[in-house]
Amino acid sequence: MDLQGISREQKELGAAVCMLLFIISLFLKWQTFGPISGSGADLGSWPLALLIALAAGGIMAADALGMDLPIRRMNPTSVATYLMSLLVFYVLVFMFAIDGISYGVWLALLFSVVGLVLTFSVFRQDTR
Amino acid sequence: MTRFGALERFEILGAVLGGLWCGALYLPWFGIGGADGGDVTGAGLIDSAWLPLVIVAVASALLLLDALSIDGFRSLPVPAISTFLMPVGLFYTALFLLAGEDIMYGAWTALGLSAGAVLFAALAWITDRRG
Repeated sequence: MDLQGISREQKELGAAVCMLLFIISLFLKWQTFGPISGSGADLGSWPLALLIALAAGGIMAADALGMDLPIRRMNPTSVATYLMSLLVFYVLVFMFAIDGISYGVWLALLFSVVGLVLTFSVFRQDTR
Repeated sequence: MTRFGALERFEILGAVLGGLWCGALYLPWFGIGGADGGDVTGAGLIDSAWLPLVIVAVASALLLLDALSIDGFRSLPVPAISTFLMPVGLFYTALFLLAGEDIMYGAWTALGLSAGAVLFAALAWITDRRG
C-alpha cells in the first residue's frame, strides 16, 4: 500500500479516527469462553488504554486541524507514535493471555496497528 | 581500571535496573487471587508476561553491551532503541497496579525499578544526542 498519495492531514485524521474506533472496540466482545464472554472494558486496566487512545488521537486531530499543542519541546507526532505503540503492546499482551479471543480483540489490534502505521508515516515525513 | 563516562554510567544503571525489574516479576505482586489462594507474582498474573520480560531484557542487554563497547553495536542507536523499549516494563507494571487489589511489595519494587530504568535509559539517550 502506498501511503505517499495520502496527504499529511488525511493520515493524521485517519489515525485519530482509528483511535476513536479503538476506544469503541474496547466495549466489544474480547473473549468468549463457553457461556462466559467479556469485553475489553472488563479488564481492570482499560481506563489507561482509553486515556492513551484519547491522548494519541487528540494529538493527531489537533495537529491535522492546525491547533497549537502545549508540547513545545517534543514533536507531537513522535509522542503520538509512541502512545500508539503502547496500545499495540496492550492488545498483544491480552491476545497472548486470553483463551477464546473474540472479534473485539482483532478489531482493537487492527485499529491500533493502522493508527500506528499512519502516525509513523507522518513522523517519518517530519524527521526527513 | 576502566573509567566510564556519563553515557556509559547511565547505560549501566539503566541496564541493571531493567535486569532487576525482570527479577521483580517473580516477586509477589498481589496477595489474593492465586490458583492456590496464595500470592501472585508479576509473571504469574498473565500468560503473556514473557512479552514484556523479553522486551525489557533485550533493552537492558543492549544498554549493557553498548556501555561495554561491544563493537557490533556501534552502528545501532542503542540508547534511542532502549528508551523506546524500556517503558514497556513501566506500562506493564502500571496496568496491573491500577487494576489489582491487595498490592504487595513486589509490585511497588517493580514500579520503582521500571521507573528508574526508563529514567536512566532516557538520560543515556539525551547524553548520546548531545554527543
